[in-house]
Amino acid sequence: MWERLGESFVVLVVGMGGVIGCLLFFYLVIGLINKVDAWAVERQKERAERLRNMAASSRANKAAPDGDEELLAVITAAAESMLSKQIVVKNLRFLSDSNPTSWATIGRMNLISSHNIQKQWERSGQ
Amino acid sequence: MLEHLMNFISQMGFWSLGLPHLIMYAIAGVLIYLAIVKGFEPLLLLPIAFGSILANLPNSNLLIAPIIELVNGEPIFKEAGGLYYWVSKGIKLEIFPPLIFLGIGAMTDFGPLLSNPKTFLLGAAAQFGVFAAFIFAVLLGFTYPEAASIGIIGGADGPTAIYLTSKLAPHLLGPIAVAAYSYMALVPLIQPPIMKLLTNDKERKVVMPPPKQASKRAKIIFPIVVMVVSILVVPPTAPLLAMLMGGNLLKESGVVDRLTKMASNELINIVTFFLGTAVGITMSAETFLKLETMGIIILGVTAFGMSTVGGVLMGKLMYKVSGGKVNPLIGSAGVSAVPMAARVSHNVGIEYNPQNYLLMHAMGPNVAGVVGSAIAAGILLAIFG
Repeated sequence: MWERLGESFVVLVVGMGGVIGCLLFFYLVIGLINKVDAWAVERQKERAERLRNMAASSRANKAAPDGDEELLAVITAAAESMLSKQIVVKNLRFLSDSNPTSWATIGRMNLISSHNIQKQWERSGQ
Repeated sequence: MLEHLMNFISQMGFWSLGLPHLIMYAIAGVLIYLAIVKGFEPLLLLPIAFGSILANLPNSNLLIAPIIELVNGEPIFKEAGGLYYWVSKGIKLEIFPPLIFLGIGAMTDFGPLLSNPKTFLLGAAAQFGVFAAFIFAVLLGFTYPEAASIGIIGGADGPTAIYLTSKLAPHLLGPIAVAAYSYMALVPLIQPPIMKLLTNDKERKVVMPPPKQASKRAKIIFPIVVMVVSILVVPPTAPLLAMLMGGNLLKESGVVDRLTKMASNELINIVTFFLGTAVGITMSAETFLKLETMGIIILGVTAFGMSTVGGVLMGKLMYKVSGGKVNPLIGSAGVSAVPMAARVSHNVGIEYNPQNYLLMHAMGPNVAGVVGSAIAAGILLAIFG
């Protein structure tokens, strides 16, 4: 009887250890995935914020004439911020003379960012 | 002509009916009453009751084995065998329980668990009853495989209990399945007294903030990780967890709507009927009306109670560690029995604080319990199988 009881306790320890060990591992993995998700969301928010700032600065300078040094500096800074490296703006052209709404501006920025400029830049080796 | 008539009359089942059959009809009547009038797990209890009536109809030949002769090395069926001889193969060949798990996976939202993964620990702690009941069963003289099959009742997961029992102690399939499903139906009666006994007013009133939304990425990675890790650690659990997680992947992928609907509707409905009746048909008077059935019924409720104790005690530990942020009542939901156990946690919670909405928090340990009980079954199978 005592022998069977002893063996049963071993089964209890092994069984509960196995169940807790597995579920603890899942807890850690899911915790890690949640952390990665939180980081990704944070990055997305930062990017959206940057795009908003760029749109705001674009609107503020839209009345500036072509060749305006200050406008060129702002656009260059925004592009550098986006690509995280130094660039040279060779050409500057307004897409439309009409007064775009903020929705249209944000949409245009999203469109530009969806083209994955950074990777294209790296691929071209510039 | 008279001889044929006498032959016909002598073949009637009436002459073989005895008191044990009548007792089994009464038991089936109780199960039908619980299923229809009380609404206790009707999807399973009704087919089980129906199957148990069939099993106790003398001379019905539903379970007779086929007679096969080898002619020139080719098997030829002399007798096709009873319908339920073949249907029962769905259990014996491990087909029905995993298919049920496929449907459960396609219906289960692991989101609450993913948004609060700490509740995995509650699902793990609630498997304590499985192993505690195993020890009690061994002390009562059951063999190890029988004790393991009885203990899994504490996992409160019908398909898992059937799966394990069909492999370790098939002769106990009827009583264990009936005990498992009956107690799952009786969760609202069994758990609240234990929950109230182990917690105080302050703990029961803890309000937990609404859980965050789990990301789609987490929902897709989760079933794959659980399946791979569980099967690597406990290979015998593969049929159950592979199907559970496969079904869940279908659901969360969002791209195979037809397959998800198939698994969560047509497939699970058909299999549930055949599983229930195939279990019921094992409940013949000779196998069911034994003293050990009474022992299984008592050990079953012990397993359930101990699992509830394990979950609530872990909930209390998390309450202490988190500085009072976790309501220990959600611990009792770790016994699977989805979603009944989670509803019980919620209902007991609102008894003490009507503003407290614990349902989604309790769903976390509830679905963790499904995974936990499948792993527990795999471990028992690895040891005794």
